[in-house]
Amino acid sequence: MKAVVFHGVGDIRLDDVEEPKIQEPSDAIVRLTSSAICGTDLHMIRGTLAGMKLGTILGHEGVGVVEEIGPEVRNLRVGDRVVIPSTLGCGYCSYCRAGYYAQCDNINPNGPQAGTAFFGGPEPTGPFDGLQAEFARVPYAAINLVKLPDQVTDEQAIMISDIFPTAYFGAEIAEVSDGDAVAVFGCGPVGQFAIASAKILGAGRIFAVDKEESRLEMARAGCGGHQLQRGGPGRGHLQPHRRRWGGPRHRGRWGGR
Amino acid sequence: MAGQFEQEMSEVALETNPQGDNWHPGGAPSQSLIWATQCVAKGGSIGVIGVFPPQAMTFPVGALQQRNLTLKGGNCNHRKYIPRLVGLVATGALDPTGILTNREPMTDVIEAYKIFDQRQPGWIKVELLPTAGG
Repeated sequence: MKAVVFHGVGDIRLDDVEEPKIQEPSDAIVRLTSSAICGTDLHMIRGTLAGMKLGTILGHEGVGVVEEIGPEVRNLRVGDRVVIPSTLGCGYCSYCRAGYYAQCDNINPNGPQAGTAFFGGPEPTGPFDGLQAEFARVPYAAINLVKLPDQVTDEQAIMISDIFPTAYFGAEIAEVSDGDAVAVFGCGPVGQFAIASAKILGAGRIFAVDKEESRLEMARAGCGGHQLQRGGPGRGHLQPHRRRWGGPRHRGRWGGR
Repeated sequence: MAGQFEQEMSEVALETNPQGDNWHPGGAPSQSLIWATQCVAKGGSIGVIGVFPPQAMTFPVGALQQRNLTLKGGNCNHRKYIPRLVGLVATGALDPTGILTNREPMTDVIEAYKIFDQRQPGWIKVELLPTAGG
């Protein structure tokens, strides 16, 4: 199958690789119908997220069809359309059962202190071969695959594999609640969803900050009537926010560097 | 500030291999964190998302303390949110495809990566279509 493979910092290639196989009874194999490129992938290629094992398949966003399941996967059938969460969990440790899938005790082969396991990441995250490929092996498939209803298209679902949840998580941990003024720094894809998520959580005013006009325009079009304020590098731009509006109470920030 | 950022870059970008306009790490790692602590109202809350390397060491803790801020961060617990977001989209309340700007076949993926890396205007989110599914 074709897959995007990491060959070194600054070196990625579209290679022909072996298709993945079921290894554990809790695995599933998914045939990918949609994948995506994410800002986090760039960290690995640029070298700001070190420790990539050479030969790892990149990509942590995917939508597809269940092709094969192990005997312990009882909540899915071959042919089901699914979205694949970017981060992996076992579903039964105390962290997973508290909703902290990113701190699962079991799924990272490097141990409970090793941190988050995700697709297509550096060796400390697994590594787990990623989703910029034609097929993927999904461990603990019963928890790591989410079935899609017919009304949600593949195109909509690929946004829900990683970036929409990440943004929503950001709005939640920033403690956005009804009436709040929220500033969102960085209006790339995750930022756009952070704005939408702040709105869902009840924000009264949302300040979108970016230096790219097309991104601010996208934010404006998405949010409709919300107050959006342009910002840019340099502290001078930020002072008017505080004077005119009393300063945002909450804030989200994303995308690393 | 520039010297500070250079120091941070040396902390997080241990090995780099830029080629022309591609694969250059960002030049101001803690900038938005600094802005956040300055911009938020005193007593306010900050949420930090994104994947950071374990070597990243810089946060304006003085501002946190001086302004009584709340800081929460981490890697996203995707599985926690996905079922409810799928449900939200299924009702038609929200259509997330508005930010999808590019759809590329797998055969063009390396080129797509390079353009996306340069943050060219209009290239906000790139969907990849694997050849088997398409």
